[in-house]
Amino acid sequence: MVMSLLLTVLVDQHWFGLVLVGSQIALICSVFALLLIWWVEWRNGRVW
Amino acid sequence: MSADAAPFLAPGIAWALVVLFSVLWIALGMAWGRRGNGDADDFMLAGRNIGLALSTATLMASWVTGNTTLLAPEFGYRTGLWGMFSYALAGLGLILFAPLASRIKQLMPNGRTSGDFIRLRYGRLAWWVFMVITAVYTLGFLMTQAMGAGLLLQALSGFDYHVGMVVVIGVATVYTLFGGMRAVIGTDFIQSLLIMVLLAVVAVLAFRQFPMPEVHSRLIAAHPDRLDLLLPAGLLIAWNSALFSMGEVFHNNIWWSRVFASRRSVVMTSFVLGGLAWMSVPLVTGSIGLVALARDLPLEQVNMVFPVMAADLLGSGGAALVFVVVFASLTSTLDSLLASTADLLAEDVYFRLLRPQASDAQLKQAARQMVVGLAVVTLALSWPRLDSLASVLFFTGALVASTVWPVACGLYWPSANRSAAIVAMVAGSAVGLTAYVLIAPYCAAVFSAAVSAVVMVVGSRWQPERFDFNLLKEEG
Repeated sequence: MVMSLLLTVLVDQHWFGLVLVGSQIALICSVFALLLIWWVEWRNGRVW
Repeated sequence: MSADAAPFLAPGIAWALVVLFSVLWIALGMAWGRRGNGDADDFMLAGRNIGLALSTATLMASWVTGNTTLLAPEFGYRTGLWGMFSYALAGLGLILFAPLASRIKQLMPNGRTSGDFIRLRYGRLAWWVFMVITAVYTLGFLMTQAMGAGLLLQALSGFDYHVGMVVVIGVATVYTLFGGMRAVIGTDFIQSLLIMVLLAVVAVLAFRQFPMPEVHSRLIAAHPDRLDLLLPAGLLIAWNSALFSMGEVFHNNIWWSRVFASRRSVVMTSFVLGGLAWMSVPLVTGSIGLVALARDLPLEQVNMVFPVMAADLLGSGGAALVFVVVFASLTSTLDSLLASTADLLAEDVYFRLLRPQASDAQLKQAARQMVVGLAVVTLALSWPRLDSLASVLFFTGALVASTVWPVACGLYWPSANRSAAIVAMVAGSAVGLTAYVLIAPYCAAVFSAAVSAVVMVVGSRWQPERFDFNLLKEEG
């Protein structure tokens, strides 16, 4: 019991929110990054 | 959820979505396939000059399978944060392959497949061992995607299992057959954007209805182990996931064909960006599993946690979003598997082994026939509905992890020995499979990669080879 308590690190609310919000922001940023790269390459005729 | 339970989405709406997106994929695929000069290289590798946007998107879309949208939430539900993290670590396979991808592009300007590399670097016997490993893995992967298509479309919209499977494989086959790799990469770009945007919408709406502090407090009260950062099983699963993904990416022609198809200046960046972008997907879908756990949502079948949550929180609109995400995930993975495996068979078996005198047009025709042949074989193998294919795919982790070190050493180390590579793949696979059976499925890739590394290093130190990397510059 004591050992299992010693080997437990629970994520607090701050870090929990950070992980979840961070992953959502990363997902949305990925969409914008892909579109931006595509737009720059399209303007320069470098998509294909 | 059982096969006979009520579907999340009315069949009429589901059919309308299937027809809409099928027509879109096929029309776009055929239009993109008309570009280029129409030779075998163009059909198999999209002209070898695709830019960063398409290269990144195709890596991301191919790596987002039906599992990423359905198994990752299950991991989150069952194992909590470590379930999400361990699934996300599969993105490391793409990121760690980035420098190797750049090296491959430099060493093999005319290369077409991963089989080309193994044959030129380690000889024909190593090639046979490698082809057996990649055949087992690829068939398992194709079957899981095909069966996943049948099961998911049935659960989401009430389609007959066989109808769902035929629709998804049929659509992916038609545009791959007529448009080749250009169709696959072009549609992957649209599919990756669609998947990411719709997942972000589902996640943001879900957490607006059920805020994060409430999810956290309920998990702390009822399931604190799901928030434990030192969960021993979670740590082991994470290691296995990373090594399994490295084995998948390092050996499989899906990823090698993307290397050969991309412009040399963008190869490394696209693998890093594709891996990073992909990692956010299982984290977001996995977090939906945590919301379901916090809400104590009744689940008859835990792998349906994502559609159940989306339908529960967002109604039929949520179910429609999930349906489109799953349809896009399945087609984007199946088209990549069909195209790159057909290339491998056409180049390595038909051209290099059976008909070295074949013309460029005959090679292209062979690649097209392989696409159709693979689709038919996949349908035939997946027709009798098996229920334990996920374990078959995990089983292949033992095999593919054994190829990581032979591939990596072969690209950078002139002393890497061909006998050591063969023994490394065979011994790694054997030990990994033994660990899978005797210890636990999530140990297989760890044991396989460790044994393969030891054999590769010791064997190459013992009898070093003096390999001339110029030999990899074989003409097509």
